[in-house]
Amino acid sequence: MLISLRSVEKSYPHGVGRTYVLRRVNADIKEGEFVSIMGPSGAGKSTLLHILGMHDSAWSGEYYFMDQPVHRLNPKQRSELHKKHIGFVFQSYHLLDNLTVYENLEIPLSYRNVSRKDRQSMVADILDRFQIVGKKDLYPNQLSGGQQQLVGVARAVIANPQVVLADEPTGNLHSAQGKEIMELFRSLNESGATIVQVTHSEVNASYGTRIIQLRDGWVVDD
Amino acid sequence: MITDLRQALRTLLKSPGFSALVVVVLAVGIGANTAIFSIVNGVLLRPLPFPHADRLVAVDTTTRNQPDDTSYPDFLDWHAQAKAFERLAVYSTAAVTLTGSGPAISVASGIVTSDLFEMLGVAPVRGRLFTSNDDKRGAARTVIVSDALWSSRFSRDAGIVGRSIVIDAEPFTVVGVMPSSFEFPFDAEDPPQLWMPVYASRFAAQWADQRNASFLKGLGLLHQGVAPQAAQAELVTIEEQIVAKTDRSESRGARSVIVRPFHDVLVKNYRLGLIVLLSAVASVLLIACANVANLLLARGSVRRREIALRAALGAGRGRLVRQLLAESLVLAALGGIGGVMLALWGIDVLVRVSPLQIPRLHSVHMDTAALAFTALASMATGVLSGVVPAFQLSRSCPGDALKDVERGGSSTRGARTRQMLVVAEVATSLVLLTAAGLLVRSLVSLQHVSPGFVTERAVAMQLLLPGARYEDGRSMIGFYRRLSDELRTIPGASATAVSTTLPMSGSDIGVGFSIEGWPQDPKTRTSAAFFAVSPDYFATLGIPLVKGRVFSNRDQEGSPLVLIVNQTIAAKYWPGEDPIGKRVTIGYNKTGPREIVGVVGDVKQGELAESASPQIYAPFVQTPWPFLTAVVRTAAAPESAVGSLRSALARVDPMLGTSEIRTLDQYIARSIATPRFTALLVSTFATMALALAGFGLFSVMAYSVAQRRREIGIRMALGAQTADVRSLVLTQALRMGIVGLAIGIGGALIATRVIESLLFGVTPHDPATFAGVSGVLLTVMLLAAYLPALRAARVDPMVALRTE
Amino acid sequence: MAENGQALIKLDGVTKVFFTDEVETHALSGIHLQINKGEYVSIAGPSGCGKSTLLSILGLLDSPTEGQYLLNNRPVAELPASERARVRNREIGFIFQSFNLIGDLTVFENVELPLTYRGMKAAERKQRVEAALERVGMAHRAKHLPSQLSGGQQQRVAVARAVAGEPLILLADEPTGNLDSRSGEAVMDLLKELHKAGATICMVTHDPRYARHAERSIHLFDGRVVEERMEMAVTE
Repeated sequence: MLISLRSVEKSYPHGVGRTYVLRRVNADIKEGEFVSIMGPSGAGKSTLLHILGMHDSAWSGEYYFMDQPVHRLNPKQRSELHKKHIGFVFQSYHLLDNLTVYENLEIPLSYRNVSRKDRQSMVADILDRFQIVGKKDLYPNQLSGGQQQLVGVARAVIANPQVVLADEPTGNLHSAQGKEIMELFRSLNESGATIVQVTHSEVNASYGTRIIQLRDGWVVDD
Repeated sequence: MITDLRQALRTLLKSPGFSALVVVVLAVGIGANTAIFSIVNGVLLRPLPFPHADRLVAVDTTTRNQPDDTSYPDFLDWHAQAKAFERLAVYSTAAVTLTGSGPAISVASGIVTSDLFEMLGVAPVRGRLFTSNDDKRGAARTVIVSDALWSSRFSRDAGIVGRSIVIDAEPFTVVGVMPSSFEFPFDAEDPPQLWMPVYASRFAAQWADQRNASFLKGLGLLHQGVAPQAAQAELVTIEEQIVAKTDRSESRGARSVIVRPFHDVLVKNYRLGLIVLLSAVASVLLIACANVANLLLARGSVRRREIALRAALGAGRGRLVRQLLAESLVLAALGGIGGVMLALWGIDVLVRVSPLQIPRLHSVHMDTAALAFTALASMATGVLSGVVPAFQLSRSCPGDALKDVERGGSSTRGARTRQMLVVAEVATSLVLLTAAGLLVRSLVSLQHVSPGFVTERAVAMQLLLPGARYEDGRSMIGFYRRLSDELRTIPGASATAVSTTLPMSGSDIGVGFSIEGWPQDPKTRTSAAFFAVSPDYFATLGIPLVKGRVFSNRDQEGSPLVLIVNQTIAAKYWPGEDPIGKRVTIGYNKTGPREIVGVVGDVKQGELAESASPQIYAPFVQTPWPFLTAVVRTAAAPESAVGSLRSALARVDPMLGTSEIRTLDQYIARSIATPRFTALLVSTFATMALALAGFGLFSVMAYSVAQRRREIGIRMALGAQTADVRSLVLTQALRMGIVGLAIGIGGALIATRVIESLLFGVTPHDPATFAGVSGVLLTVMLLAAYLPALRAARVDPMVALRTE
Repeated sequence: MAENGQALIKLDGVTKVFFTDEVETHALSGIHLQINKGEYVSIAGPSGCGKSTLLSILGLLDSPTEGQYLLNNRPVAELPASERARVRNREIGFIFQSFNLIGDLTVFENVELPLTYRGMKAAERKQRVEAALERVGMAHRAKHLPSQLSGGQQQRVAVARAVAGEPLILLADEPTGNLDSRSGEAVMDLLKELHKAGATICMVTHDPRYARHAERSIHLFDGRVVEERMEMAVTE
């Protein structure tokens, strides 16, 4: 089992009581799956994804990632685990405006102590794979939304993670661009990556192999 | 780290406006600090440029525990008997006239004994130093010239050594040229251009054999391992024997010797002032740091997403802190470079406006120590201004910042840090402003102190009669008469007078005196400033007659000896009694008792801030002295009389040189130059601090308004008028201002006590000053907040309807 | 005060044009609309149909490019900014989608805010605020900060703030948009109660379930009124 959640809860204190964002979430995700998390806004989808991505650490319950108990790891260990195995794709791309495409792709590697030479060849590889060699010296604001998201996905997978987490990856794109990105996810999945996406769209969900439905913080349908 | 620095530079170049602003703020702060540090280093910290500078001591006679000059015979006895010193020398200065090879010029000369240059360890660039042979009476007249004089007067003549030049109408042989870096004494207003032995100097030679002629300062080089106290003990014993042997009744028991480290003596009058300046300028830098920290924090909130994203991509906290610190270090380094350039200019300006008496000031320059200081200050600035923003930013949790729907509520913690920084800035500026206010008020009250005489439209010329041609009182009186007559012929002169010295001129004569019928105790012997004057002196200087009469032409050499005393003496020795007719003996050539014929008003002797001191006047013809000051009061601008004053002198004695002719107003101005300098600089720094604090408040308020746009929009949607919104912002600013003010007043109450000794006529807790600067500060705070307040009032209430 | 059934709001040919980059965008074109005292009206339509623009004009946050707006028989289309602020403060109660409570102020202070802009005496303010909080069932939370409340509770406080000033009309902009279904229902019930007690309410929503709570619903499309319908569900 790649990911295993047991009774994961997240809540905010509200005066005397608490507001729950996630309630007793149990889920298992196997290697090679392509999972879509769906549900109305405010259901806790993004929160769940950020917990899976280990960006969020204020929650309770048990989370095993590749059999490691994430809930028992300290921030440093979590960060190591996340660096090694997880890539993240954001709805609004979140590329760094000050850096070129090339430098944006290089960032995750620079945080992983990859040597300069290896970095060069890995970035060159990914530019080829995603067919964006011609864009490498451009800044994000010189790219269309679809191209930016292409770079976003490239950045997520450049360090060869086992899992790619995507938060509404096509939310800001029109349908043709969205389709291109989803095809990309499909091919990544076919070449072995596990993919978990949050989406509103039934069409996008149909690329996946499984759907987890959330409502008001509860898993209502899996 | 290189990558971090490179990326930092890139990031900063991407927002050039912000970066330029920060660099300018830092450059101003660092530049001012470098400039002041250079001065403090040059004057206070840098060791004297001599080998064994740590063993150099000032050796001075004391009279009733006050350091005083020493006579040449006393020095010779010390020199012969004292064992504590490797070398012992004395020196003085005098103006001399240089004639031949060009027009006659008046230059400052140093009078030295041969040990002095040896002791200082300097070598001449040409020729030789003085030897003990040059010290002897009757030796051939020798002189050593400065590099500057060698250039300006002798065109760097290769044959200068051995050449004969004319000084005060006597031929001198040049034996050496000093290097251009050499200057001595340091604290001379006019650095000497040539040096000569005691007997070669016309001025010194006439006094050299008199034990009561104290005109020399002593400088000694202690033997290795001898403490100044030990040397002092030895000299005290020697001096006691001298006093006993020479039986100078009027000063027995009152004379002693003091030995102090030379550097301490040199800087003691300036130390506090310079330390105050250094603290003031350091505060300015702290405020600049707080400002930059604020700017970085404000910009950091904008970059929250970027930082969170980097964290999400795997950057650890340490890595983020490093990157953010790299940015502030790059900014500080750029600020440091700008600061060095500002400091180069600033030092130049400071040296030019600073009072001449501060020793070693004109040799202050940017040196390696100052550069090292700047580098250190820049690093500290970078860390100080970067560390708070770096830690605060790197703490933010990536999850929240990255969710595409952002949760409401800005980071209150960041806002509080920013507000605290502004409060600290306001408090620090208030302390500086208060200090500046007090120093300025003190200066103003100094300027309002009457010196006791009228200074307007009057010029004075100081003269020295060479002993070779004016050997006795009769010849001096002759000169005095001819001079007085010539002065009266000066066109445009409304009044003229002659006196030995003038009050506030920097020179004075002291005499001891005893009152007939009073018990004599040498330890509590009375002394007074002494003036030998012409009869018209009081009228010319505007010194009021209180009682009795002033001198007249009836008071001649042969007539009964008379005196005039000032009110201080009259009140001290004859309270409720009439001093007229009382008889007093002054320490002048063992002449007998003199009768008091008048009482005049007090004048300030050396400084405006001093309290009244005893002063005694006698007719010049009854007490002739070889130095005189001619005073001319004019109807027109006093400068118009300078030329005719010189020609009047030339008619009396064409061989006589004169020092610079100064107006009495210049005497006064010179006496307050140091407080004026301190007040000017502290005020400049306080203004900088105020401007920076105002800017700090402005940026915080502008940022706060930008952050609260939505809240302001909601308030306006609910019916708040523009005035309500404006006052919302102004109140927030005012609250910070008042908290800062309260803390600042607390700090100022402590800090101003430190400068108490620099103040005159104002207490360190002067309520008017505190109220005044508080008012100024609050006004500036309100002005700084006004623009953000206006911007807030222009927020469109429609923002309330938008959902993010 | 207008009697029930009298026209409280009358829009006559209201047009709003935005000029951006030399392009004119007609957000509203010739809207005629009347809302009577005591009515409960909903405005519905897809995104970009002009709902928000209409609401901002009704709420005097914005003024029309053309056309007349009579509020309680007084022409208000061209009032100066300070007078518009006065009218907003006294005659209109806003309820926003994202609650818009001010985070630094307590529940009590939030409700009090519009009253302070009237220069009302403290004692009277206190009484009104307490009454308004009582009405929405939030009196026990007067001293809490908004961040200590759930979304539904925050919206109830926002309703209290809107009614505390006894305005002529309540304008609600998607009041349930940020709430889960249960809290949303509760807020709708609260509005229904206020309406029963006599309040005039105009609500923008795109949720047909909630539009049905109103007596009458107005559908906008491309800046025009395309349909007006009496909703029978609410009369029961």
